[in-house]
Amino acid sequence: MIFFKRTLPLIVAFTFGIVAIVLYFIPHQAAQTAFTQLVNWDRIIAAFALLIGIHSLVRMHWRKIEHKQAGWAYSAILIAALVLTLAIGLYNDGMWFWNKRESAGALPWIYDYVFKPAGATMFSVLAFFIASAAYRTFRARTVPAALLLTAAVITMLGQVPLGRLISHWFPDISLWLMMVPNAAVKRGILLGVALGVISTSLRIIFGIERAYLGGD
Amino acid sequence: MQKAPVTERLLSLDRRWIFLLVLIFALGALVIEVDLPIVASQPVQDMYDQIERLQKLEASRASIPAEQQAALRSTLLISMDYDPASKPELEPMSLGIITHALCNGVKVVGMTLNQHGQDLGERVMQRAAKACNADYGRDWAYLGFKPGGATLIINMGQDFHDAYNQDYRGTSTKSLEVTRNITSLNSFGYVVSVASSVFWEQWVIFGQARYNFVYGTGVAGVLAPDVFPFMQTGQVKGLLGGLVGAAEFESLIKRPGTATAGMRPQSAVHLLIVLLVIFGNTMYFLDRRRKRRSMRPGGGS
Amino acid sequence: MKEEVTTRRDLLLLGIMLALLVIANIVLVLMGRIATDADGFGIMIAAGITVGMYSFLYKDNPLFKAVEHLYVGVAAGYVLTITWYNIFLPDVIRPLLLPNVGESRDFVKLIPLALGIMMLMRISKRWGWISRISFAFVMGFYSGIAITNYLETIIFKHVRYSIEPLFATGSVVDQINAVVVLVGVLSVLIYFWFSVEHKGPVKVISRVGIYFLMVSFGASFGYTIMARLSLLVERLEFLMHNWLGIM
Repeated sequence: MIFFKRTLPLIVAFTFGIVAIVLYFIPHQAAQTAFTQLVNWDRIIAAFALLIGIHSLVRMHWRKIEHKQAGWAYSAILIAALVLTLAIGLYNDGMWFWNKRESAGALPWIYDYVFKPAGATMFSVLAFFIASAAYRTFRARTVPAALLLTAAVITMLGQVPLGRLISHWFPDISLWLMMVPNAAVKRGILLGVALGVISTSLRIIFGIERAYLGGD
Repeated sequence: MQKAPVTERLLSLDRRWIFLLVLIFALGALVIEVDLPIVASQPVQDMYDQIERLQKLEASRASIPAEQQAALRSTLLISMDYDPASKPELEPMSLGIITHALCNGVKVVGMTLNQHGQDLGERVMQRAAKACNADYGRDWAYLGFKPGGATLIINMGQDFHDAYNQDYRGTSTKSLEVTRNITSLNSFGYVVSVASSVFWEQWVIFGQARYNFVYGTGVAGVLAPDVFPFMQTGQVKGLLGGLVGAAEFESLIKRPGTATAGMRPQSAVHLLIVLLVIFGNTMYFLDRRRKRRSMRPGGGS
Repeated sequence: MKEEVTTRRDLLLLGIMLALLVIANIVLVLMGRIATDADGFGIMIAAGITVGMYSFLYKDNPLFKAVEHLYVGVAAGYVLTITWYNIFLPDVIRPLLLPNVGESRDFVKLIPLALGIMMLMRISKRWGWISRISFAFVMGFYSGIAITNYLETIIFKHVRYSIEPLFATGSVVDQINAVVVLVGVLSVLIYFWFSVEHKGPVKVISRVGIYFLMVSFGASFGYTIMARLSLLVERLEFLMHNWLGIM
């Protein structure tokens, strides 16, 4: 049983990891067709992974309702909204789920008048908190903090037309800040991340990194 | 009870007053109409020049033999990889790019890597097609969403019709004139990702280097700083960064839209925040000086 | 007992806030600012959601919590629907069960279907170990792809373009910029090298790296506020123009 639970997954990870690397270098049509097929499988399996995420969400909120924990009424709203949206989507404006998706009906309405405004509003709230944080916590206490503030002020004014009205130096210096020091930092971080990805990938392929398999 | 000094009271101001100031500045700028100069930066100009290049290639189609036309590489692929939360910032970019391309005779294929963005992409393309009298199937097509991100990009690079065997309406991509001759990502003349998260980077890492196509991107403001290293290496040719990038593109194509209108409140609130930072720091240093003086022997408040 | 009281109070507050929104919408309909059709009803719902979420700026309240949970539920339902129509139906169900005229069934799709169902076993405590094979396939394959692509696209290209501009013929300004970029890249990489103690020359170079990082973070802040502001402006335009009809 240990073979199926632990050893077989490691063999699978190793095999398909090496296959992915080797096929990258073989230009022959048969190799590229095989690669395309594997990539296609990967995408289909990714869709099933979405279902696991939704299951976790539903289970967590269902438990709240079952045990009448604090805020269970809100969990009931969530589950009801999920079920209703899914039902409307599968009803498909009368054409049902075995046909292609219709562009009219209740689902586009839900998308336009519930999903879109909720998402946009949720993230726009951050604008207020950023302004408040800028006033209450941005302090030029040290040299690095002063550098951060100066760069922030120049970029904020350089990005908007008002900055150009005040002085043409704002957009010019702002662009230089982005193209030179900012690009250098982002490149340094990028190289560090890339090295991390490569080392983690090698550890996964060679079975040293096993956290993705879960416990036991 | 002695009142706290002015500086201390101002430094611990209830944040809801600041929220109110932001609201007043944003609303005020929406109501008061002022013309602000919008000048395109070089990254935005680069994207505009790429679409102009496609337009010139498409214009030359009639003068080249039929058997060479399939390899012309004059079609634009635009991947609208954003969701409703980023729509106000990124939709003006998509609309501007697609409208400019379609109205100048460039064929456009649209798609999305973002599961929440399918309907957004469809609406933008329909709006642009209506404005330019473009025909579906001949001038433009919309492929919709498929999951996979990086693996979808690789799939499209290996075999386009295997990755997308049908468009979002269920029509075979081999039967549509605009996608019939597309075999791989490098069949496109320019690939643009308008993205609100890591998708733009996936196009570079898993697509551009391997399948050798010209790539540009429009990203949410928060991601724009990350793109600049890729512009230096030539992996990204053309960048629209945030709403200001969209406004600059609108000024180049001479179609002012929501991005241009959004520059007024942007300018106002940016100015407010700069003033708040300066004011906050002034109060901080004044308060610090007051505290130091009061700690000196014989010092008063 | 305390939780019951809190729930009842929350429900009462929610009821009052909803009632106020309903009254406001009735007034707007009577004034002719909102149509009495599906779109008009949609605008009322969207306005209620927007106002509900912004009410959090004053204080956390039941209307905000209700709207927040509604959003998450709708988003989850929408994602499920899209996943069915965009991947399961065309890429799995149709090729296996309902092939196009002239095409045969594609039985190769049984393999990813099986791997996908195995992945769903993660839900079960007893059979969860079966999902490891699917995860191993996805992780192993993606790791293999990542190594080659990251090496080619990031490591080789970006190291080259950090050094090459130093030897290019360009203006004095270009040369200075190239030096600044190289110094920035190296100092940031050394700053994040925590395996070595930051003292002596390493400390000095790390300090330079910190200065570069601060400049970059400041520039990023400027862009972040722009991103959030554009969302706020769009919501304000919706409330003023589409809902209240005063702009």
